[in-house]
Amino acid sequence: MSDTIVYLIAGFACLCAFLVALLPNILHAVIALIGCLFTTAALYAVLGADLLAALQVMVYVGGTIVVIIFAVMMTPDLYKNKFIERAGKYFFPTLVCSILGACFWYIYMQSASILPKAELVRFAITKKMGLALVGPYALLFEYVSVVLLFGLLGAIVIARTGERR
Amino acid sequence: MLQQFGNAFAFIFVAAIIPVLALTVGRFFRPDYPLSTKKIPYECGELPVGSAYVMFNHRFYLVAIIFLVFDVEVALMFPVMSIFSDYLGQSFGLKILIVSLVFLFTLFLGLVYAWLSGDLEWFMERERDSRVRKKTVTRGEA
Amino acid sequence: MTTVQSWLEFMPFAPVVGALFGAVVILLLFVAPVGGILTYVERKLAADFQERIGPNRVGPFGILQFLADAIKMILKEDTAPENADKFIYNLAPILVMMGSLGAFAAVPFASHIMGADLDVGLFYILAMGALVSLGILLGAWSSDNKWSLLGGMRAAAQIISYEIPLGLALLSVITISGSLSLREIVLDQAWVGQGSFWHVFHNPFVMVNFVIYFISALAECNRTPFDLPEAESELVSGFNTEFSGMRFGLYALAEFADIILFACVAAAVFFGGWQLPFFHPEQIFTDINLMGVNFAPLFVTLSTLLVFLGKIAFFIFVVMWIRWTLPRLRMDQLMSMCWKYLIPIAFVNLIGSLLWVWFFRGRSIVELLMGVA
Repeated sequence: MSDTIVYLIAGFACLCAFLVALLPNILHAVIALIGCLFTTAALYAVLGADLLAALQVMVYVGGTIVVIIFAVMMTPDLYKNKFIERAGKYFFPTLVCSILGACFWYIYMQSASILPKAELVRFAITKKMGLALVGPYALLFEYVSVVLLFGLLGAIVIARTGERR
Repeated sequence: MLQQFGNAFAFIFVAAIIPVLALTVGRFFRPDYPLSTKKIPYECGELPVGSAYVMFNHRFYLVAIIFLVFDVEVALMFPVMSIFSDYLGQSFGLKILIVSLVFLFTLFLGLVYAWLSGDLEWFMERERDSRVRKKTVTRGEA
Repeated sequence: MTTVQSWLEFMPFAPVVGALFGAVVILLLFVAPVGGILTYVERKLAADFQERIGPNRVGPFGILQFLADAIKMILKEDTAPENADKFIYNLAPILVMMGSLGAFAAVPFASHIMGADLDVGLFYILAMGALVSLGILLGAWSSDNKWSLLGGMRAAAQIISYEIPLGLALLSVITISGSLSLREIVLDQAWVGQGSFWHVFHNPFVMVNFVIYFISALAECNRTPFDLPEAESELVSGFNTEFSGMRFGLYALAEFADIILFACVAAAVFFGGWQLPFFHPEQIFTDINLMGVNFAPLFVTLSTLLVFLGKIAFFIFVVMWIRWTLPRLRMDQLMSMCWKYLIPIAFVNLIGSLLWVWFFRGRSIVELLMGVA
C-alpha cells in the first residue's frame, strides 16, 4: 500500500472538510461536502474495500447529499440573510478548527502505536461482507432494518407536521 | 483489484475533462458579445417576476427521505444476495433466505404505512385540513 | 526514495497510460460518436414514426447531421444569466458527464474488452447514476431561473425515485448469478448445453423484473414517457433552459450516453451480453493464419462485440420507439407509478425470485424442462 497516495487522498478530504466549514455560500459548502465524501470513497477504494466505496457514493453522495440540497432549496429567504461582511470573518472558524485539529493530532500521536494499521485488502469483500451480515451479525442486520423503518416513519411524521403549519 | 479501480478512475477522469475540453475549445471559436438583455433569465420573453429561489412543494423533500431509506436497503441487500446462490441446499441458505425476507418485509411495511397515510400523494388532499387549503398549490404545479 | 518506490509500485506508468488510453478509446471513440449518431437516429426514427423524411441534406441520407449539430453547438455563444452561480454552473455538466460516462468503465463489451472488471461493477454503475441526478439538480439551481429550478427538482425527484425499482430489479438477477461483477454475470449466462440461458428467461419473476428495469431505466434517462423535467412543451426546456450551445450539447450527450449505458446493462445482465445461444465463436474461428499471425482471437472478439452491439442497438431502438409512441406522464402519475406500482411489484418479484432460486436450487425454466439435476 502506498502511503503517499493515501496521505494525498486523506489530505484532500481534510481540505474539503475545511471548506465545508469555511465557505460562506451554502451550496458551495455542499459541493465541498460532495468532494469530501467522494475522497472518502476513493480512500475505501485504495484500501481495497470496493463494495464500501461504491456504497459510499451511492448512499451518501446519491442520497444524503440530495436530501441536503433539497433541504437547502426548501429554505425560504436563503439568500436574504447576508453573512456579516467584515475583515475578520474567517478568524474564528480557523482558530476553532486549528485548536480542534491540534487536539486530534495530539490524541492520534499518543495512540498511534496501538492503532491497527490500515491494511490493503487483497480479496473481494462482497462475499465476505455478505457472510458477515447473515452470519454472526444477522440479528444486527434485522435491527438495521428496524432502525431504517423508524427513520422512515420519523421523517414522514416530521415532514407532515411541517406541512400542517 | 486496485488496477481495476485505477481504470475506473481513469474513466471518471476522462469523463470529467471532456466538458472542460469541449468548452475550452469552443472558447476560441465562439462569439462573445455580452449584452445585458442576454443575461436576464429566460421567462418566455417577459422580464422575470419575483426571485428565482421560490419555496417549493415539500413533497420533494419527503420523497428524498423515503428514497434514502430504500436506497440504504437496496445497497445492503446487494452483498446478501450475492452469497445466496452459494448456499442453496443448506440450512445456512435457509437462514439467508429468512434474513432477507424479514429485512425486505420490514421496509415493505414502511412503504405500506407511507402509502396508506397518504404521504406518497403528490398533491395535498383538500379535505385533510381546511387551514392548509388556502396554501394548497393548484393542481399541476411542482 | 521509499515513497517514490511505493508510488511506482502502486501505479507504475504503463498501466496508467493503458488505463487512460482505454478510457479515451471507449469514451471518445465509442460513446461520444455513438451518442452523436443517436441524435441523428432519433430524428430519423421520429420521422419514420411520423411518416415524414427527417434530416436528409447533410451527407448521404443526412448521416452527417450530427456533425453539423455538434459544430453548431460549439459555435454558439455561451451566455449565462448574470446572477448564476458561476462555479456550480460550470460544475454541473462535469458532474453529469462523470455520472453517465464514468459508468462505462464497468460495462463488458466483449470477453476481454472491459474498462475495469470491478468486483462490484453493477453497484458502481448504480452509484454513478446517482451522480447524474446531483448534476442536474445543481445545474438547475445555479441557473437562476425558476423554470429551470422546477425542472431540476422534478428531474432529481424522478431520478432518485426510480433508482429503487432499478436496484430491486437488478437484485433479483444477483440472486441467480451470485456476483456483482458484470463480466461474471454475463459468463453465468453462457449456453453450455446444460440449459443455462439468458437471465431474463430464468424464471418469470426475473422476466417481470426486466420490464420494471426497462421502465425505470427510461425514467432514469429522462426519456418519454418520463421526460417531464426537460419537457419541450412545458417549462420551456426544463433544467436545460439557461444552458446554451455546447453546455446543452453536453447534457444531451449525457442523456444519450445514459441510454446507451442502460441498454448495455440490460444486454449484459438480462440478455446474455456478448453471447448468443448455439454460437461458440471460439470453436468456429479456431485457426486463421495470415502472415504467420493467428487472427482467430481477433475474429472471436469482433464477433462477440458485434453481438453485444446488436443487442444494444435493439434496446435503443425500443427506447426511441417508446418515445415517439407514448404521451408524457404528469408528475404525480410519474411518482405514484414509481412508489405505488413499480416498487411493490419489484419487491414481490424479488421475493418470488428468491423463493424460486431456493426451491428449485437455482435452476431456470429451461433447465427444469430439460430435467437437469
